[in-house]
Amino acid sequence: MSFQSILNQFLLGLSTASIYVLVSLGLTMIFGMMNVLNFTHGVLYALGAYFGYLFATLTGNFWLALAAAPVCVGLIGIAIERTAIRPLAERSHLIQFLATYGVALVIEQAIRIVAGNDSYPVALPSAFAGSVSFASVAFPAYRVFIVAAAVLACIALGVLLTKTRVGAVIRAVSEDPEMATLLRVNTGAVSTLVFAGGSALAALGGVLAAPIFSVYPSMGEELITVAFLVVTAGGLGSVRGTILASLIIAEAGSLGLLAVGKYSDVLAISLMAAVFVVFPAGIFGGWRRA
Amino acid sequence: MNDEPLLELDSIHAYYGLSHVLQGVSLKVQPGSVVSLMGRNGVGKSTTLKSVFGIVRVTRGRVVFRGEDMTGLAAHVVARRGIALVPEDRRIFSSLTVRENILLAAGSRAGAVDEVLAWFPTLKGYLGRTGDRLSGGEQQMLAIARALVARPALVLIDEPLEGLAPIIAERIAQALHGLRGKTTVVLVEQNLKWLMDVADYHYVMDHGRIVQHGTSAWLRANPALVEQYLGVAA
Repeated sequence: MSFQSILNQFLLGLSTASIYVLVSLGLTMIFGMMNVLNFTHGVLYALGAYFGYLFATLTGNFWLALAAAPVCVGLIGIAIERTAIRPLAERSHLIQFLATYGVALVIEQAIRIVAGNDSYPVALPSAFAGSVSFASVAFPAYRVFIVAAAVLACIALGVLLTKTRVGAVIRAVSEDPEMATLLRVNTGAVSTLVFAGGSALAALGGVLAAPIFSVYPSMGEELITVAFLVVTAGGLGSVRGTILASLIIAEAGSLGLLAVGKYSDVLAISLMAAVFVVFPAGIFGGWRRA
Repeated sequence: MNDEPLLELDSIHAYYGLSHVLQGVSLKVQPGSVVSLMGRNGVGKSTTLKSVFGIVRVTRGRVVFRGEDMTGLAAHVVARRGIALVPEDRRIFSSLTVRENILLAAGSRAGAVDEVLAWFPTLKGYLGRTGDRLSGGEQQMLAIARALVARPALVLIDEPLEGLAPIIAERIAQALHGLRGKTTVVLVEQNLKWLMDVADYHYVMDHGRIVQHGTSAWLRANPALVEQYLGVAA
């Protein structure tokens, strides 16, 4: 096992973690902060990939696809929040799970009807077709771009939540929605905004993942489990917890390939289980009231 | 005082599950006054305040504010009409700093923080501190400041002295005296002596109803009544 192979796997894990971070940050906002058990998140990630593929194919412009797909999915997220989630806001997580799981199935079937069951390969944007060298390891430039995009998204979300009035309102609603209401905050509008933002982040992850994993109808199913693990292991509502848990599970899966081969996923899930044993409320606990 | 009350509760009823908590509460609050709501624990004082905001649903009767029927409106709409509530357990946002708690309530109004510091100078050293790192007294000052900084026409304050040292109670009383004539206040509090000093008019509750009402002088003149409904000497 050479240093180069370890570094290569680490960098691969870092780019996978970046996809996890983007998708899980959206879920952190929706589930961790607003306490909505949203199982449409995976299919919104898939929709992002499909919209990205569609826009990139129609216009030949990856950047346009990168900007437009999250907007479209954000609008779909608003429709889901208004029709399937808000009426059930006071109901149990089980009811929310059943409702959103049902919506996810409907959307996935709609994808299959419109786009078929086939997998679509997505071309790498030409600007990132080459590779970048790290300590004599040639690493795909596109994966470096994904890592940079995730870092930017984390910084932007961190600034939004901690340095702006909108962020303070979101944190207040997350912590005590009734008290926020008493301070004249329209919590319904805040929930819609957060849901739209979380959906857009999932879509952003989908657009960025498409050139690596291709686009196929069930791509969201595989990611939703990881995203929920990451959000709960990091601590509900914690952005830094989401980032750290994404890194742990992705690197365990990637570096674990060198150590335990095909059982690396078992290693990753075992590590997550260990996290829950040591930190039952997640690594950073989270701020949301029980 | 005007004849037109700022707030009128017109025979309101409310339930917690099957429990009939408010059984026709009626009261009037005149503009600029400080009014207290008294009674033993569990008679419905806090529920009355919550019912103004619809946090506890009013099943019968009307909540009228500035002549407008507010019954059934969403809490944030009631707040935007000019009513603020300081809840019993303060409910400071623990992940927000003192400054953020103030600005959240003040909106985009400039000078809000300075205004709060004029009422409660103690908070000056804690503006960057998160809510979970404040003492009970500091939290109560912030809770009251957070309500006042929105410049409401009416402030409802639930148990402001609970668990506080006498010196903090004195500061809060001073702040309320400073508001006299500027903002209308409804207070729920167990400390009878403090209430008689701070409030102009008193409503006594029992079993979900208003059973007596009058001025502080009237309360002092009726020690038997105070003993009967409040269980303490006036």
